[in-house]
Amino acid sequence: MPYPTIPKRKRAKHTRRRGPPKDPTGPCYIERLPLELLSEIFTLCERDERRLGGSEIPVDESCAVRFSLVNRFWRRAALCTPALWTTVCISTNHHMHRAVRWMERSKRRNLTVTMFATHPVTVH
Amino acid sequence: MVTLTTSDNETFTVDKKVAEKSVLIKNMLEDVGESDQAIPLPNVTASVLKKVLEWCEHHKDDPAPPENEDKDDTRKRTTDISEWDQKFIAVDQEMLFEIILAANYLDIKALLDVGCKTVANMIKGKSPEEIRKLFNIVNDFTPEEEAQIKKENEWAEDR
Repeated sequence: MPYPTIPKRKRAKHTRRRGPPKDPTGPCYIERLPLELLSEIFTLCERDERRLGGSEIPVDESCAVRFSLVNRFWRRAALCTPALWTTVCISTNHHMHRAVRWMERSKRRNLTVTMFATHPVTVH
Repeated sequence: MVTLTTSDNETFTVDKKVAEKSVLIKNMLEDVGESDQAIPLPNVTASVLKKVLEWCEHHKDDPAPPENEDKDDTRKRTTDISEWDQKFIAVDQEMLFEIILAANYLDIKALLDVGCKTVANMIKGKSPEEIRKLFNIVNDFTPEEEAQIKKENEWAEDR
């Protein structure tokens, strides 16, 4: 009995994207990865950095923010990685709308929430 | 023994135990049963399959991972790569990402983990610009888009 033909890229659910223009300085091999693998890499990295840095990592140096700023595809991958958005730091009422955005992106993951309040805050 | 044919039409004959590190191949062998026919692997070139089989040979006697392994934080530490695997995966970027894609396609979870952990270690602690430089990634954001993303996340500035 012959072996069935294996469909191309059977396990890569999201097929290769149409990438950004190639950098003339050299080929970009990482852009061959489908989104779900990049997302897996982000999760591994975030977990490791969080383990080493705890809640001391400034939010603007977090994996979520850094990876989101690489290019459009990385931003899409970051937005599809709930684990990146699970540590929420609130120190003023002004932070609330951003905290809500992060919580939405974290989907149903457990959250780490740090709050610094010197006066009553209102949450809607 | 099992015969595998790559996308560039090279043939590899390997021990069944080695080939069955790939869940894709294992399932095909179970579905089709005993056969002398070569298994076609249209997504893997000979040079990549050679590396993948080297890994499978070295790890052929490893115990199967537990079902709930994903929930184990210690396994997921990115630095948790054995010395042999670190040497194995010390290849150029083209081969590294081809191994990751092949491991994903062939469904070899432990090898996929090694590849993903290696890339995670490469990007750990790096700024967006450093990451772009490392992988030759083009920044395709418009200045407005980039400013908007920064604005969304400028938590630190009004602390």
